[in-house]
Amino acid sequence: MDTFYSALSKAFELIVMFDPDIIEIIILSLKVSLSAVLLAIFIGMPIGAYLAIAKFPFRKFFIILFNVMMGLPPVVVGLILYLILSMSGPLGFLELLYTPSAMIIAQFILVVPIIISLTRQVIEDLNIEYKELLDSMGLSMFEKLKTLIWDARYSLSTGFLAGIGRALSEVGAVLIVGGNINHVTRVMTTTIALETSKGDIIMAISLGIILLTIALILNLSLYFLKSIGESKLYV
Amino acid sequence: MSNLIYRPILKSSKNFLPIKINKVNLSLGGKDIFNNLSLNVKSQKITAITGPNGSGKTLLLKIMSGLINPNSGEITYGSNSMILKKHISFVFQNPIFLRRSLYNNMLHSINASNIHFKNNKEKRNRIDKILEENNILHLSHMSARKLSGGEKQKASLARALLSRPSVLFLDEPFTNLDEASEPFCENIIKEASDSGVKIFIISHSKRLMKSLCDEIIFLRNGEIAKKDRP
Repeated sequence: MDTFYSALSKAFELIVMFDPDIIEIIILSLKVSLSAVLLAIFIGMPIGAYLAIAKFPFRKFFIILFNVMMGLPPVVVGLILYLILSMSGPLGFLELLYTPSAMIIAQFILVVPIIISLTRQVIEDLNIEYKELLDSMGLSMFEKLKTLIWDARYSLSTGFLAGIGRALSEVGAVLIVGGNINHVTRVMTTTIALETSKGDIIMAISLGIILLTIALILNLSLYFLKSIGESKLYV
Repeated sequence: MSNLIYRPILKSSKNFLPIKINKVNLSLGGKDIFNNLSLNVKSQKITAITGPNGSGKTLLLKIMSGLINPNSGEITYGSNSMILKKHISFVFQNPIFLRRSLYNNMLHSINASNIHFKNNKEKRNRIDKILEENNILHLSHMSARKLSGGEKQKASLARALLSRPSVLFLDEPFTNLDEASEPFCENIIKEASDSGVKIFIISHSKRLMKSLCDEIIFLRNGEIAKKDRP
């Protein structure tokens, strides 16, 4: 219990004192995870929505594939990406290994199946309600997707939360492709792993508390945004 | 009496006539609904479709409007072998609305239509005018999904007419209307018809069919039992 209280006061101290190293780590963590999630939303949401309403061969196969990919082991993703991005790999010429960009790609791969699958589920449910109306208006596929995504936007925020949760808590893949280099690719999770291995448990727990607080703030903000939006937007 | 705001984009619904259903077959869940159903509608005004429950009235309307594809057979609108959905509107028995205000539902509908507006003000004016004609302007900023059953029916009719269709399908549009609203909506349907919109209406009311329609189609077990004039 003493360790926990010490960690709590240390976490408070680190934030209040604006420890530049910690701030740098927090900012990089948020930058990497938010970029990965926003990219995953930008690409994954239309794919998920299309999967929900389009009819094409192997549709069910893709649905199952993306569902399975939600459980991708981060270490395996990190390893495969490492092989692709390493100098001898097919994309080695891009020199992305051990950069925040490689970490964003790794997190994107982990998050995009979550966004696709959750979007598909939400849009599929809404489409049951809307299908006849949208069909009767003679809308194109693009117009239907636009309408469905817009009207489901508050339900879709759950996908954002799941994605950001997965990205912020991820350690295996970013450790492999980022290398945990101080001031370059060190994020909160990799710092926690490092501090634990060094035996600095209090530092590790305090960083854990900061990480949890960030996740909590993000969740609460979105929850309130969703509640206000839904009450105003007639769900 | 015609009303200019209901006039179809295509100046006359005659472009869509006659409406021919040729040897349509439909089976759903292993049950044959229509077996070689053929129908020729020449009437420019209001055609009623009536018959007992389960006779296939709604399915016939959905096939005619292109919402359901038959297993075989074809539907032609005048010389058009394809159903021109942008010139067709459908009022469902249980109206469906987007999770938006009534005004934004109307806006979505008008944006999906083929009507061109010089600016947003013109668009807004058309929506307000239609809502006003249908006596629901005061509800425009309410959630469409939270309207009462009767208000939803009126709003659904208003939305269907907003896009200036040539053919309008009405699936029991008076289901939830009170006594005062029924003649009001009847009048709107009459005005739309007089303005050139070809209307199909599913109804069980003899009075309504007599007062509104110039042709009645009786369906029984997926077959045309009788075609009559009121």
